[in-house]
Amino acid sequence: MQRVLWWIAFGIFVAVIVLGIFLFSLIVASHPEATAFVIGFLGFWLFANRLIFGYGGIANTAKALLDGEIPNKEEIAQKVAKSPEAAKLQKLEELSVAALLSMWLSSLEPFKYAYYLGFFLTFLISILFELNIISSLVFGPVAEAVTFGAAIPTLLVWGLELLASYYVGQALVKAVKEVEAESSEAGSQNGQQNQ
Amino acid sequence: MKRPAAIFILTTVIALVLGWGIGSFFTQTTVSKVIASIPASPIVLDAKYNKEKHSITYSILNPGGTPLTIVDESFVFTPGKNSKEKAYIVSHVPIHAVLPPGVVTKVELKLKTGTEKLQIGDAVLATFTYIHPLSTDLYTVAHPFKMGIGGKNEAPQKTESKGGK
Repeated sequence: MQRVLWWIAFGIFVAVIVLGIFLFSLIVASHPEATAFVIGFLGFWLFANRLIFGYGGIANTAKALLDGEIPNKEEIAQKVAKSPEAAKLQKLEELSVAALLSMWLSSLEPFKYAYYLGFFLTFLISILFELNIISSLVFGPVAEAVTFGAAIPTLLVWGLELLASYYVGQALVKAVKEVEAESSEAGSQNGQQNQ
Repeated sequence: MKRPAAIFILTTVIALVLGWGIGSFFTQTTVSKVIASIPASPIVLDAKYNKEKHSITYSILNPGGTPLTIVDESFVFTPGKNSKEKAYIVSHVPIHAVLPPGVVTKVELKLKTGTEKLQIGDAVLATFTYIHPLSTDLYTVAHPFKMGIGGKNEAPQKTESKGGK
């Protein structure tokens, strides 16, 4: 009985996949540009996801820090280190939140670089088609549509990156001021003790 | 907090421009697909007589999106005052000239061999029969050519006035 059910489920699964491929190829055949746009958007979002949520998280945390809240240090330390154990060994919890945020920001740098490289290559190919340096009636519009789809997550990454680096810069300035105030206080206390 | 607002405005402006670009890109592709499926009638832009080859070369523009194929050409020769040649008609010369979309193509029409060279005032009325991929119908375009007279509009006006009288 179970085996029969399994085979029925398997048959339905295969039928759904075959139907899906059929419908997908129909859409691709009739609207190649729209499909290329969606693929460019989803594919680049896949790579941009880490950057978008990373920069978004950094901007949020830094804004909260600026507003006077105290964010959870362990959570931020986990973003920077490979694992909680590594975070402990690196003594990340001894650092200030602003320092952790700036480390988090710079840990996203290689991903950002690779992402912009990928976008630039796509953009370059579509520009080559657009300027008729390479010309193809079939691939030209498709390459352009992929670039347009990729431009949406790229714009998000770019805007959030600007925002995150601005807030982290502000948080660092605030943290440095606090440290200076503390050290001057300590210095004056020391002076009083000396007297 | 001035800076976040500036970043927001900058991103919004770029997003608007990007959306405009995407919208116009899709409009352009759909419209060009529609236009590419419409056959147009060819336009004869220029006709020039080649004395050595004894032929007339027509520059024909295909303004539409589908390729047109000229399958046959006919012409009527009417002598002017200077010519000693008699009037004659050559019809249904099979040719195969493809006019690609949006391009000016040169089509050569060879005059009857053994006849005299064209003199000023001689007229050749050429009729091209063409087909397009959407139907099996035959279409024609007729072009009057008068040797030595620049204004192309003169010939059809004259024929019209004759018909009126």
